[in-house]
Amino acid sequence: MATLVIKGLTADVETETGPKPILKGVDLDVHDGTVHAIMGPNGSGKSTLAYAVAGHPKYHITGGSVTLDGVELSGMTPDQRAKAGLYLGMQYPVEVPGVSVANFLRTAKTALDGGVAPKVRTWPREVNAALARLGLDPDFAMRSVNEGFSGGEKKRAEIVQLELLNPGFAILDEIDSGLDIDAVREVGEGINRFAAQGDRGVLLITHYTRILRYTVPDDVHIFVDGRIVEEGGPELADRLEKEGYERYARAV
Amino acid sequence: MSAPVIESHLHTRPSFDLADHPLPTGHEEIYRFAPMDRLAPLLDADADWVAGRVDVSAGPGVAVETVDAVAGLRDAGFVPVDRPSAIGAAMVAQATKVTLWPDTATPLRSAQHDGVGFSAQHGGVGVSAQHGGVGVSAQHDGINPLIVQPNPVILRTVAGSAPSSSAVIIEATPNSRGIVLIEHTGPGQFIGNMAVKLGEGADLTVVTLQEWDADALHAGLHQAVVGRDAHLRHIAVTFGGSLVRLQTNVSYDGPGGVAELFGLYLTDGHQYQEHRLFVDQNQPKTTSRVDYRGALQGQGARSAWVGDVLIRRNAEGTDSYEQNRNLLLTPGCVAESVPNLEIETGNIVGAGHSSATGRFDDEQLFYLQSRGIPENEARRLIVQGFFFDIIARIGVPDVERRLRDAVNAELKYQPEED
Ligand SMILES: Nc1ncnc2c1ncn2[C@@H]1O[C@H](COP(=O)(O)OP(=O)(O)O)[C@@H](O)[C@H]1O
Ligand SMILES: [Mg+2]
Repeated sequence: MATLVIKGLTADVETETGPKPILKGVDLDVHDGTVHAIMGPNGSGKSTLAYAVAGHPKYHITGGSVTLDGVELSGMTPDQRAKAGLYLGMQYPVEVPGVSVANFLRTAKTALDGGVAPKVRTWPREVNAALARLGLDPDFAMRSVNEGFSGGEKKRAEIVQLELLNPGFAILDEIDSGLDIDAVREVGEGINRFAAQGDRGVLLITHYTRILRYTVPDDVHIFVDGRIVEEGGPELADRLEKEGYERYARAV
Repeated sequence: MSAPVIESHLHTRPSFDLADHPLPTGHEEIYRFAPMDRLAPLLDADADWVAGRVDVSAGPGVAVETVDAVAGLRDAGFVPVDRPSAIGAAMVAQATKVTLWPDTATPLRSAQHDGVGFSAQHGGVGVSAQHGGVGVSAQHDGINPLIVQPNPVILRTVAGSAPSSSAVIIEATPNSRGIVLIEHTGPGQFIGNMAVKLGEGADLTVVTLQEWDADALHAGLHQAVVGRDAHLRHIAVTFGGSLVRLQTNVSYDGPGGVAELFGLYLTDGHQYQEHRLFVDQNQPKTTSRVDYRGALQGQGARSAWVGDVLIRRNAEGTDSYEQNRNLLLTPGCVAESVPNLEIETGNIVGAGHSSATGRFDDEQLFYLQSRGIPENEARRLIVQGFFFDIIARIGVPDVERRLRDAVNAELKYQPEED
């Protein structure tokens, strides 16, 4: 079970000139076993939605609710949300110098499993296999988290983490941007493997439609100016491909 | 050889004569950051200074002997540059001299490498040398591991609770390779003078660990002369002490020398830790890299880093870069950071510096937390990474391992954040 329910969500982002309202009432239900896509123009607030749900300290929920399997997330620390089953694949994965991917993954896995460290006998093999599935060399385990990774390698590494930490619900923010065509396929296949477990939920945030060729969404939501303005099936994405966001921009 | 005369406006004239280093008021450039009340015992020439005991463990290819301190230091290019180093040099009659020989050369004491626990007293200064004994790490690719331990804990046992000083001379003869680890532990007031001399083509790594008890006071002067095409790595690791003030000076004795000066410090609320560096690019085609990292935590934690690089008129084709980064882990910490670059010739490969002091990166913290890692654990990982990142640049696996262990041990016993 992993169902994300967002109701009337409003949120601010902290800026140098004070809080700036971005989310203007978001309603969204993503049931387990389904993949939803959120599509919208740049600056519409898609990442703000992702950060607010995951608990980034710069993004403050000012109203409404976010629940994962009925558990209210707002008010929780980011690690508590992760323990509740949430995963955020970030648009710009953060570099953490001096912390190896292997150490990072082991520490995260241990924390998520309630302090039980992954098995020394099998875990390194699982890490290597997950890296290999995403086309990354085993050396990546010894490198510092995201440091010196190319844009594409960072996104592949986000999916490696997704597969290894195997949360209940994944929000993937622009996981396809900065990827060449082979990488889009490999990342799409990774998301499909995750979703194929059947009881997982996925919210795929994207600006372009090309990832949706590999990971076909059950529902598509068009996001403009801090709210969802239209909803439909995969055909909505096809229409966007032809017409772009202009209609919606005019409608605002 | 004679000591280099420094005409830089940043530096006092080096001298063995205590009269040339009068009692400072605290307004002098080189004392501007130090808490003078806490430093006072190390400026007191009238205290009953005793010779600190230096225990040496060394493997083959290394000679350990006792020499006249002033002559030996002078010989290795060492001259005091401040009052504590002048006091130290004046109060200690004899120096411990460690000489590293290339694998093929005959070590001075090779005939005596005959058993475990060999120990000898040299001239009553309290030098003991152990060959094949405890503390000698394994041999690897021709490197002679060596551990030098000026240990004030042992000193107290020998000489009572007096302030102590020691003089150490490390000479890496031409084409020798080696690692020297200096461990400072225990309580006390300590002045440590060290001369490091690298012959042509020598490759030497010197690690100085300041793992003092909380009340210790330490003033140190390390002066290194890097020979033609020689490579020095000097790594200062300061975790302990009430006050540690370490001055590291490097100059060159021929073209092609490389000096890498790394440092890491973890400064707690009751501590003052100062690292001063002076790289004198006095020879053409020489290279220097200075990279110091500090993390501070707790009300009143204070650190100072002063990095001076002087590129002399004759030193064409030099390449130098110095960097200092500080991480302020809690409110109430102050990290001073002052890079100085004096350039007398524009005909260089590179010369640069950078200095950054900042709080925890919220983005890093959030990223780790979003993977389920609790905030405290995430902070510890980031600090560990901050230090591991610089340790990984040392390029000497044994030393890297030793330092990672030291960082881990230190972070484990971190006091609660306020
Ligand atoms: N950290 C921030 N500081 C200032 N403004 C921000 C910040 N993050 C987002 N914004 C602003 O919020 C709006 C929405 O941004 P974002 O959520 O990143 O949109 P999207 O992901 O849809 O491109 C934009 O106008 C952006 O400039
Ligand atoms: Mg975005």
